[in-house]
Amino acid sequence: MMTLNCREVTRRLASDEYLAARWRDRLLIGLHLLLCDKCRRYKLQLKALSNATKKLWPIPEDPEEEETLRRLRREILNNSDE
Amino acid sequence: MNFDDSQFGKRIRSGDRAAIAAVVETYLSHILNAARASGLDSHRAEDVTQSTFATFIEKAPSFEGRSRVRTWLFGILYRKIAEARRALGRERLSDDIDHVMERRFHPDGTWSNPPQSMTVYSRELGKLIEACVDTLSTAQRMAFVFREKEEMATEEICKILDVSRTNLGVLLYRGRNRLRECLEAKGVN
Repeated sequence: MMTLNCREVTRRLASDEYLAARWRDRLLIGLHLLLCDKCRRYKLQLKALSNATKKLWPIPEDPEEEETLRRLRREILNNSDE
Repeated sequence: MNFDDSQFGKRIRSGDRAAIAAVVETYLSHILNAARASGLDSHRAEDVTQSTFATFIEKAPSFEGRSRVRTWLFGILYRKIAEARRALGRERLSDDIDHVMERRFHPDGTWSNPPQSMTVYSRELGKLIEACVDTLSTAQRMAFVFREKEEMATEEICKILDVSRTNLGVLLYRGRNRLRECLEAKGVN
C-alpha cells in the first residue's frame, strides 16, 4: 500500500482535499495520523484556528447595529426606486 | 419563503419589490458582516454592502437562477471587496508561504521543523488571528472566512470566488499556513 509522507498529509489537510477524498485516501491519511504525532499536532492547530475563527467578527447585538441595518435597508430600497 | 425555487427566480427577474426586499432583509447583516471580516473599515464595509445590493437590484432582470440567490449575492460582494482592497493597495502579489512550508520538511517529506502545540485560549487566539489575517491575500482571506465562518460548502465558495476546486484548495492551504506561521511567530505554541 502506498503511504503518504508528512508534507503530503499536511497539504491534503490544509487544502480540505481530504474532505472530498475517496475512502482509500482517507484511510491512508487516518493511518498516518495514527502513527505521526507531529501531523496530529498540525491537525490540532488547524482545528484551533477553525474554532477560534467561528467566534470572530460576530454580528453585534446592540441598538446601534439595529439602526445601521435599518438605515442601510432604507437606502438600498429607496435608491432602487429612482 | 424559498429563495431557490424557479417561481422566486421569476419574481426576482421581473423586479418584484417584495421579493427583492425579502432578499435584502435576509442577507443584509450577513453581507455587512462578511464585508467587515474582509478587513475593510466599518465605513467602507457599509459602502461595499450598499453597492453589492445596488448591483443585485440592477442586475436582477438577468438573474438566471442557475446559482442560488445567496451564491450570486456573495459573488457580487466578493468582487466589490477585491476592488476596494485593490484600491487601498491591500492586495499582496508575491507568495512566499510555499517556500516557508517547504523549509519545514526534509527532502523525504518528513518534518524538519514540526509544529508546536497551541495552548492559548480560544478568545486570546481570536485576537491574534485578527491581527494575523492581514497577511493573507483577499482571495485567501475570503476563502478562509467563507469556509470557517460562514461554513459554506466547497462548491459554493468556488462559485463565489470564481475558481476551480484545485485553486480553492491552494487558497485555503496558503491562507491557513500563513495564519499558522504568523501565530507561531507571535509565540503561540
